[in-house]
Amino acid sequence: MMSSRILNMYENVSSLLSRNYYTPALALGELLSLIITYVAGMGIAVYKLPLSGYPITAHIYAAAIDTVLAISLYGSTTRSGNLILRILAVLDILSVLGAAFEGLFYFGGFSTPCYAIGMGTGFVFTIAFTSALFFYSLRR
Amino acid sequence: MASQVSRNNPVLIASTIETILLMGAFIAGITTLLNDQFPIKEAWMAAILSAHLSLALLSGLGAVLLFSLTYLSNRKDLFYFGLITVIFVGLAAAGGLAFYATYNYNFSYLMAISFMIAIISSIGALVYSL
Repeated sequence: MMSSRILNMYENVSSLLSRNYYTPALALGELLSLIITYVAGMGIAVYKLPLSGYPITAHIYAAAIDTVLAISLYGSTTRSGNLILRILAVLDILSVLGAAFEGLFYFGGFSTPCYAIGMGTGFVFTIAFTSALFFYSLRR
Repeated sequence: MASQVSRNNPVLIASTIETILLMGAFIAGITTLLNDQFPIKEAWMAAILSAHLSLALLSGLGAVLLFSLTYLSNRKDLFYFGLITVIFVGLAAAGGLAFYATYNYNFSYLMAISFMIAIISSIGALVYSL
Protein backbone atom coordinates (compact mmCIF):
# COMPACT_ATOMS: atom_id res chain seq x y z
CA MET A 1 0.00 0.00 0.00
CA MET A 2 1.42 3.35 -1.02
CA SER A 3 -0.06 5.11 1.97
CA SER A 4 1.72 2.83 4.44
CA ARG A 5 5.01 3.55 2.66
CA ILE A 6 4.40 7.26 2.98
CA LEU A 7 3.46 6.75 6.62
CA ASN A 8 6.72 4.88 7.18
CA MET A 9 8.66 7.69 5.51
CA TYR A 10 6.91 10.23 7.70
CA GLU A 11 7.63 8.19 10.82
CA ASN A 12 11.32 7.87 9.93
CA VAL A 13 11.74 11.57 9.22
CA SER A 14 9.81 12.75 12.24
CA SER A 15 11.61 10.38 14.64
CA LEU A 16 14.92 11.61 13.19
CA LEU A 17 14.03 15.29 13.53
CA SER A 18 12.59 15.01 17.03
CA ARG A 19 15.83 13.88 18.67
CA ASN A 20 17.38 15.99 21.41
CA TYR A 21 14.07 17.76 22.07
CA TYR A 22 13.49 18.69 18.43
CA THR A 23 16.91 20.32 17.99
CA PRO A 24 17.36 18.90 14.42
CA ALA A 25 13.97 20.23 13.36
CA LEU A 26 14.68 23.70 14.74
CA ALA A 27 18.19 23.70 13.27
CA LEU A 28 16.82 22.67 9.87
CA GLY A 29 14.25 25.46 10.09
CA GLU A 30 16.94 27.96 10.94
CA LEU A 31 19.16 26.66 8.15
CA LEU A 32 16.35 27.16 5.62
CA SER A 33 15.64 30.62 6.99
CA LEU A 34 19.35 31.49 6.80
CA ILE A 35 19.40 30.34 3.19
CA ILE A 36 16.50 32.66 2.36
CA THR A 37 18.20 35.51 4.26
CA TYR A 38 21.40 34.89 2.31
CA VAL A 39 19.80 34.49 -1.14
CA ALA A 40 17.85 37.74 -0.72
CA GLY A 41 20.75 39.61 0.86
CA MET A 42 23.33 38.57 -1.72
CA GLY A 43 20.86 39.37 -4.48
CA ILE A 44 20.63 42.92 -3.15
CA ALA A 45 24.42 43.20 -2.83
CA VAL A 46 25.40 41.62 -6.15
CA TYR A 47 22.76 43.23 -8.34
CA LYS A 48 22.91 46.52 -6.41
CA LEU A 49 19.17 46.48 -5.79
CA PRO A 50 17.44 49.30 -3.90
CA LEU A 51 16.51 48.64 -0.26
CA SER A 52 12.81 48.36 -1.03
CA GLY A 53 10.31 45.75 -2.22
CA TYR A 54 10.46 41.97 -2.10
CA PRO A 55 14.22 41.34 -1.66
CA ILE A 56 14.73 43.51 1.41
CA THR A 57 11.41 42.42 2.94
CA ALA A 58 12.27 38.75 2.49
CA HIS A 59 15.73 39.41 3.90
CA ILE A 60 14.48 41.24 7.00
CA TYR A 61 11.69 38.77 7.84
CA ALA A 62 13.95 35.75 7.31
CA ALA A 63 16.60 37.38 9.50
CA ALA A 64 14.03 37.96 12.24
CA ILE A 65 12.98 34.31 12.04
CA ASP A 66 16.68 33.38 12.30
CA THR A 67 17.01 35.13 15.65
CA VAL A 68 13.81 33.59 17.01
CA LEU A 69 14.90 30.09 15.98
CA ALA A 70 18.41 30.62 17.34
CA ILE A 71 16.97 31.47 20.75
CA SER A 72 14.60 28.51 20.59
CA LEU A 73 17.59 26.29 19.72
CA TYR A 74 19.19 27.42 22.95
CA GLY A 75 16.08 26.22 24.71
CA SER A 76 15.96 22.82 23.05
CA THR A 77 19.69 22.16 23.45
CA THR A 78 19.57 23.12 27.13
CA ARG A 79 16.66 20.72 27.62
CA SER A 80 18.53 17.95 25.82
CA GLY A 81 21.38 18.18 28.34
CA ASN A 82 24.10 17.94 25.69
CA LEU A 83 26.77 20.52 26.55
CA ILE A 84 28.31 20.69 23.08
CA LEU A 85 24.92 21.38 21.52
CA ARG A 86 24.28 24.04 24.14
CA ILE A 87 27.60 25.79 23.46
CA LEU A 88 26.94 25.70 19.71
CA ALA A 89 23.53 27.25 20.34
CA VAL A 90 24.99 30.10 22.42
CA LEU A 91 27.58 30.81 19.73
CA ASP A 92 24.80 30.71 17.17
CA ILE A 93 22.76 33.32 19.07
CA LEU A 94 25.82 35.59 19.36
CA SER A 95 26.58 35.32 15.63
CA VAL A 96 22.98 36.00 14.59
CA LEU A 97 22.69 38.95 16.94
CA GLY A 98 26.00 40.34 15.69
CA ALA A 99 24.86 40.10 12.10
CA ALA A 100 21.44 41.54 12.93
CA PHE A 101 22.80 44.58 14.73
CA GLU A 102 25.34 45.28 11.99
CA GLY A 103 22.49 45.06 9.51
CA LEU A 104 20.36 47.42 11.56
CA PHE A 105 23.19 49.96 11.55
CA TYR A 106 23.54 49.59 7.77
CA PHE A 107 19.81 49.86 7.18
CA GLY A 108 19.47 52.73 9.61
CA GLY A 109 21.74 54.98 7.61
CA PHE A 110 25.39 54.11 8.29
CA SER A 111 25.70 52.88 4.70
CA THR A 112 29.42 52.13 4.84
CA PRO A 113 30.73 48.73 3.69
CA CYS A 114 32.07 47.74 7.13
CA TYR A 115 28.54 47.08 8.44
CA ALA A 116 27.62 45.04 5.39
CA ILE A 117 30.84 43.06 5.88
CA GLY A 118 29.79 42.65 9.52
CA MET A 119 26.51 41.10 8.37
CA GLY A 120 28.41 38.71 6.14
CA THR A 121 30.84 37.73 8.88
CA GLY A 122 28.00 37.09 11.32
CA PHE A 123 26.22 35.07 8.66
CA VAL A 124 29.18 32.82 7.90
CA PHE A 125 29.64 32.04 11.60
CA THR A 126 25.96 31.38 12.15
CA ILE A 127 25.78 29.08 9.13
CA ALA A 128 28.75 27.20 10.58
CA PHE A 129 27.16 26.84 14.01
CA THR A 130 23.65 26.07 12.77
CA SER A 131 24.90 23.42 10.33
CA ALA A 132 27.05 21.94 13.10
CA LEU A 133 23.99 21.94 15.39
CA PHE A 134 21.88 20.23 12.76
CA PHE A 135 24.39 17.53 11.88
CA TYR A 136 25.60 16.95 15.44
CA SER A 137 22.09 16.64 16.86
CA LEU A 138 21.37 14.00 14.20
CA ARG A 139 24.50 12.05 15.10
CA ARG A 140 24.16 11.95 18.90
CA MET B 1 22.45 7.59 20.92
CA ALA B 2 26.20 7.70 20.21
CA SER B 3 27.45 6.82 16.77
CA GLN B 4 29.04 3.41 16.41
CA VAL B 5 31.65 4.60 13.89
CA SER B 6 35.03 5.71 15.25
CA ARG B 7 36.58 9.11 14.55
CA ASN B 8 38.11 9.67 11.13
CA ASN B 9 41.01 12.01 11.88
CA PRO B 10 42.18 12.85 8.32
CA VAL B 11 38.70 13.88 7.23
CA LEU B 12 38.19 15.79 10.48
CA ILE B 13 41.38 17.80 9.97
CA ALA B 14 40.78 18.38 6.25
CA SER B 15 37.18 19.46 6.73
CA THR B 16 38.12 21.82 9.59
CA ILE B 17 40.79 23.48 7.46
CA GLU B 18 38.44 23.60 4.48
CA THR B 19 35.69 25.25 6.53
CA ILE B 20 38.09 27.89 7.85
CA LEU B 21 39.43 28.58 4.35
CA LEU B 22 35.93 28.86 2.93
CA MET B 23 34.91 31.30 5.67
CA GLY B 24 37.99 33.42 4.95
CA ALA B 25 37.38 33.30 1.21
CA PHE B 26 33.80 34.42 1.76
CA ILE B 27 34.68 37.38 3.97
CA ALA B 28 37.39 38.44 1.51
CA GLY B 29 34.85 37.99 -1.26
CA ILE B 30 32.21 40.26 0.22
CA THR B 31 34.92 42.79 1.03
CA THR B 32 35.79 42.65 -2.68
CA LEU B 33 32.13 42.97 -3.61
CA LEU B 34 31.59 46.03 -1.44
CA ASN B 35 34.86 47.86 -2.03
CA ASP B 36 36.21 46.95 -5.46
CA GLN B 37 35.24 48.45 -8.77
CA PHE B 38 35.85 46.37 -11.87
CA PRO B 39 38.03 46.72 -13.92
CA ILE B 40 40.58 47.11 -11.13
CA LYS B 41 42.49 50.38 -11.34
CA GLU B 42 43.71 50.95 -7.75
CA ALA B 43 46.42 49.02 -5.91
CA TRP B 44 44.37 48.54 -2.73
CA MET B 45 41.50 47.08 -4.74
CA ALA B 46 43.93 44.60 -6.26
CA ALA B 47 45.15 43.68 -2.78
CA ILE B 48 41.61 42.88 -1.58
CA LEU B 49 40.93 40.81 -4.71
CA SER B 50 44.25 38.99 -4.26
CA ALA B 51 43.28 38.02 -0.72
CA HIS B 52 40.03 36.58 -2.01
CA LEU B 53 41.73 34.74 -4.86
CA SER B 54 44.40 33.27 -2.56
CA LEU B 55 41.89 31.94 -0.04
CA ALA B 56 39.58 30.72 -2.81
CA LEU B 57 42.42 28.84 -4.49
CA LEU B 58 43.41 27.22 -1.20
CA SER B 59 39.73 26.33 -0.63
CA GLY B 60 39.64 24.68 -4.04
CA LEU B 61 42.72 22.58 -3.34
CA GLY B 62 41.43 21.82 0.15
CA ALA B 63 38.13 20.63 -1.31
CA VAL B 64 39.92 18.22 -3.65
CA LEU B 65 41.97 16.94 -0.71
CA LEU B 66 38.82 16.59 1.38
CA PHE B 67 37.14 14.63 -1.39
CA SER B 68 40.12 12.27 -1.72
CA LEU B 69 40.16 11.65 2.03
CA THR B 70 36.41 11.08 2.18
CA TYR B 71 36.71 8.62 -0.71
CA LEU B 72 39.46 6.77 1.12
CA SER B 73 37.43 6.74 4.33
CA ASN B 74 35.16 4.05 2.79
CA ARG B 75 32.17 5.75 4.41
CA LYS B 76 29.21 6.65 2.26
CA ASP B 77 28.06 9.64 4.34
CA LEU B 78 31.50 11.27 4.37
CA PHE B 79 31.92 10.54 0.66
CA TYR B 80 28.74 12.39 -0.27
CA PHE B 81 29.69 15.39 1.88
CA GLY B 82 33.13 15.52 0.26
CA LEU B 83 31.67 15.13 -3.22
CA ILE B 84 29.13 17.93 -2.76
CA THR B 85 31.81 20.21 -1.30
CA VAL B 86 34.21 19.73 -4.19
CA ILE B 87 31.51 20.08 -6.85
CA PHE B 88 30.18 23.34 -5.46
CA VAL B 89 33.60 24.85 -4.74
CA GLY B 90 34.47 24.04 -8.35
CA LEU B 91 31.24 25.69 -9.49
CA ALA B 92 32.06 28.78 -7.43
CA ALA B 93 35.56 28.90 -8.92
CA ALA B 94 34.12 28.65 -12.43
CA GLY B 95 31.71 31.44 -11.60
CA GLY B 96 34.54 33.57 -10.30
CA LEU B 97 36.65 33.12 -13.41
CA ALA B 98 33.66 33.80 -15.63
CA PHE B 99 32.82 36.94 -13.67
CA TYR B 100 36.36 38.23 -14.00
CA ALA B 101 36.18 37.71 -17.76
CA THR B 102 32.72 39.13 -18.41
CA TYR B 103 31.73 41.31 -15.38
CA ASN B 104 28.32 39.63 -15.56
CA TYR B 105 26.65 39.80 -12.11
CA ASN B 106 24.97 36.42 -12.59
CA PHE B 107 28.36 34.74 -12.19
CA SER B 108 28.93 36.71 -9.02
CA TYR B 109 25.60 35.40 -7.69
CA LEU B 110 26.59 31.87 -8.75
CA MET B 111 29.74 32.22 -6.62
CA ALA B 112 27.65 33.28 -3.63
CA ILE B 113 25.10 30.46 -3.85
CA SER B 114 27.58 27.66 -4.55
CA PHE B 115 29.79 28.84 -1.69
CA MET B 116 26.91 28.47 0.74
CA ILE B 117 26.16 24.89 -0.31
CA ALA B 118 29.88 24.05 -0.20
CA ILE B 119 30.35 25.33 3.35
CA ILE B 120 27.27 23.54 4.70
CA SER B 121 28.57 20.33 3.13
CA SER B 122 32.07 20.89 4.50
CA ILE B 123 30.66 21.31 8.02
CA GLY B 124 28.66 18.14 7.48
CA ALA B 125 31.89 16.29 6.70
CA LEU B 126 33.43 17.83 9.83
CA VAL B 127 30.63 16.76 12.18
CA TYR B 128 30.18 13.31 10.66
CA SER B 129 33.90 12.56 11.00
CA LEU B 130 33.81 13.26 14.76
